[in-house]
Amino acid sequence: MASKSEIYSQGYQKWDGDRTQVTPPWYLIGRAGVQNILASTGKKSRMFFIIAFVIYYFMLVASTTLRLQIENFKRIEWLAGVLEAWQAAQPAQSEVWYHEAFILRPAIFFTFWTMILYGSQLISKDRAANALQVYFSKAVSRFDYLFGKFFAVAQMTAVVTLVPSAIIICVGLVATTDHLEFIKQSWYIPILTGSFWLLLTITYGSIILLCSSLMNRSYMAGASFFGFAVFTAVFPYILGFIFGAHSFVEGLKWTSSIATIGEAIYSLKVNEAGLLFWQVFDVALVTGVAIFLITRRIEPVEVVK
Amino acid sequence: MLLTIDNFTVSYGRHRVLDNISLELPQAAVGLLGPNGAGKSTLIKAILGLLKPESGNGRFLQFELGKNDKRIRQYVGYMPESECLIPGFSAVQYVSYVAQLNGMGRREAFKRAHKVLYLVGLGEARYRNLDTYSTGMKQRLKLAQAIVHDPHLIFLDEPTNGLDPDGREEMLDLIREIARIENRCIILSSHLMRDVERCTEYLVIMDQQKIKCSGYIKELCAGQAHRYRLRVNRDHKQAAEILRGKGLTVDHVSEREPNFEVMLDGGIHARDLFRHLTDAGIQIRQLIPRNYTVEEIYRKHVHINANAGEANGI
Amino acid sequence: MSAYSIEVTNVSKWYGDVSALTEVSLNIEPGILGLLGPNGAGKSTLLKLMSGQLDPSIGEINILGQNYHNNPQLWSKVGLCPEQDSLWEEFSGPGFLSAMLQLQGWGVHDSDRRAAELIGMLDLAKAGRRRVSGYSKGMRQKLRIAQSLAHRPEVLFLDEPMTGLDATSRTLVSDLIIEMGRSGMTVVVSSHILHEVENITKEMVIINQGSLRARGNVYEIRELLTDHPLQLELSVDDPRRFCQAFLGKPHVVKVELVPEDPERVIVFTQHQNQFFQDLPEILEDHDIHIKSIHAEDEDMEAVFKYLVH
Repeated sequence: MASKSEIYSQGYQKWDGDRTQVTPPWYLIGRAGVQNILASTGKKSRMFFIIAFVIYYFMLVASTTLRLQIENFKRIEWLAGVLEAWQAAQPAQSEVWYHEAFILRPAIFFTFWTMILYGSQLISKDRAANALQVYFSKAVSRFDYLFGKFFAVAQMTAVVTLVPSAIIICVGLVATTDHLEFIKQSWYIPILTGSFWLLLTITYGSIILLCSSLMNRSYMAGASFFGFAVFTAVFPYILGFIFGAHSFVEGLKWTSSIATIGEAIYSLKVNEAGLLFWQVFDVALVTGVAIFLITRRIEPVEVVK
Repeated sequence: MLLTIDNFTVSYGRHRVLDNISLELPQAAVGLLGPNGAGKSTLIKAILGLLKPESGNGRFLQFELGKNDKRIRQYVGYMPESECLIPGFSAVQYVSYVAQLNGMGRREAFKRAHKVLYLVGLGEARYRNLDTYSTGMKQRLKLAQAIVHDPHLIFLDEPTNGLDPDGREEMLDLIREIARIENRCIILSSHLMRDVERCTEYLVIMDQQKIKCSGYIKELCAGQAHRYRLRVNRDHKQAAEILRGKGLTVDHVSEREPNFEVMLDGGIHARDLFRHLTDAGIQIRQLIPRNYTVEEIYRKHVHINANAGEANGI
Repeated sequence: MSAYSIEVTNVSKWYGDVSALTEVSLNIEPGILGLLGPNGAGKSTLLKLMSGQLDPSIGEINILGQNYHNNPQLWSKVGLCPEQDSLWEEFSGPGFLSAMLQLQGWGVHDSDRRAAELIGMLDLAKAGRRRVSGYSKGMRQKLRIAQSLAHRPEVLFLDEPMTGLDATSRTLVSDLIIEMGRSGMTVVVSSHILHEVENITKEMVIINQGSLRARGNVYEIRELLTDHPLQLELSVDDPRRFCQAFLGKPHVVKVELVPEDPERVIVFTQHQNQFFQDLPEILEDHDIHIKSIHAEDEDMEAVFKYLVH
């Protein structure tokens, strides 16, 4: 008869699982980046952000409902007068116009400050803690790491681009009186918002990640990002003063160039083709240089001491 | 062979960091010794698959080195010398995160993280934030993150750095335990030769970007047959004289300690030494075959500034 | 003048409410002495007191028969390599050493020559005229050691001299310390890497909880520790017969055979002197051939473990 007594080992156990990466490392790195930022944020500032976003999203829901259901709301007596006046003052606009109005500027504003406060921690904290050698001694490539960090930035920018856009469209679909017209007007908006989201992520992301990878302290990284923004706002004036105005110089105004490109995406209309070309060119140039410099800064060979 | 490196040369610009290295590592616990700048860390990088060789090739398990193949690193664990914690995590989160980076599923990674943390003795502290860890605990955690994905080869870079005597002992015990696992190897790089001597069976000595010496410690340290080292309880010079009087070859009579060496050949047994010395009231306290220590092997292969003492001119 | 180069008499030291050392009396002869103890036991305080960096709260310290009070000449006979990293960053290595010597009153020419000599001795020549701020951890440590022995002191205190050094530098520094001990200097070395101290000297002082725990030769201290039976490992041709012969002896408390090695036997004895006296007789009477014998737990590590826990 087989014995029922047994002693089990609690020592080291081998793992004979399949050594293929189920979850791509960039996804893990991006998620961990956001997790760490949330963990390092104090309770008060987290509450502040939550409340701010609840208000913002609620405003979107309310305004969308109001403007699509305006005929029904006019039946409420005390509201009717206000709504009439408002309708008279404000000509009816297309769906995409509302998206631009509600998303573009707030998103840029929010992204700017979030990057300074939180995006700056993404690489600098790893550098300060010597964590890069952990990453690069694991099955993580430089691409994985960088892409992961961009993914973290993308999650932050999604909160002000993809989410509000989705809210407007979903609420609109429910609230609209003319579904066919609504779909006709907004079927392509997710593509526009998606492009705008990518634009924000890549441009702002590349600069903040560069700053973050240059500094070991995140506040220094944030400060240098702010410095970059101020510098690119002022420097083109000086350049223009010396060499005369040219669209290339004008395009170097980094923040306003991104805003103009964003407007062009949403309005699907080019006001000044030459200027826009140089703006796109300059922003792409700055982004490319930044990404190149980051890859220099996080050379795995240099990191593993 | 776990690892074969053949005529491997690596340069950064004009600076040569690995100079035509050939090395074959068996499935054994390996000790890696050498001064700073000898190329130890470059060798580690090469085996992590991060370096492209200028010439030569290398093979680790089924992978070729220098092909920028990150799969290699799923089979290698690396415990760096410097602190390397990711802030904001608890120990379990950190270790399972690292395991997932290496391709483990989330549940699997979590399970193994717990087990490994118990193994390194951090079971009680595994939910605590890393910022509150002591030096000894951080050292253990570094070990945990290096072994969580069950690598076939584990690099330990100065694992006892900054630990006090007790902490060092515990860390060395852990390393020995890991080194004993079948088919799992360690490479222990340390400045402390005693640690290498006690934890490993195979020795690699590097200096000036080259491998100076490699082999099983047992074979490298084997001394002359019949040569023994003796320690007596008092007056070793008298003891040496007595044994010389009996016709034995006695040399290396130490100045500072009651030690000397004696040759036992021509039908003389160790037992006879005891008899000869008992009459003079001298006890033999230690009698061991004269083997080389790792330090002596190291001195043989690595240049050490020899005129240290005389230059002091005291 | 007494034979002791350092005399510490009834010294206590406290900082405010915190007591660092209590009632320490210690006489040290020329030669090398290892100062051991767990972290925070008072090693560094004792070194600072002996090197005159601190004054004792109570008690007296004499170095080479002299006291530190109003005695600036004594400073030139004492060297200290502190644990803290404090160097003049803007100097080059040789420049720093030479400046230090000139502060001690050496001539410029002599200082420069001595500095060059020290740089060669500690293998720092590679750094050339590079500034100290660009030195690596190990190079800084070696420079600190050089600084402490630059003025040819008669008494030298080294606090953790091996921290941050690589294997080659460790051997270099331990050779240097051994050489200094042989030449008649008094060298006190504190360290918590015990076998490194053991390579340099067998004389030690153990400090624990702010007072002396033991002092002397490691083997003699081990012999005094009768509470812990000495663990002797032997290789003999017939371990079982050997065990039988020794079990009759009252000082043997335990014998162990090792299944993996048919020649090995481990004997635990409470009275090692008696054991070694009996050993030759038993080998002869029972016709047992011995191949090796050594104690497993008579090194500094074992003694430290038994005394400090």
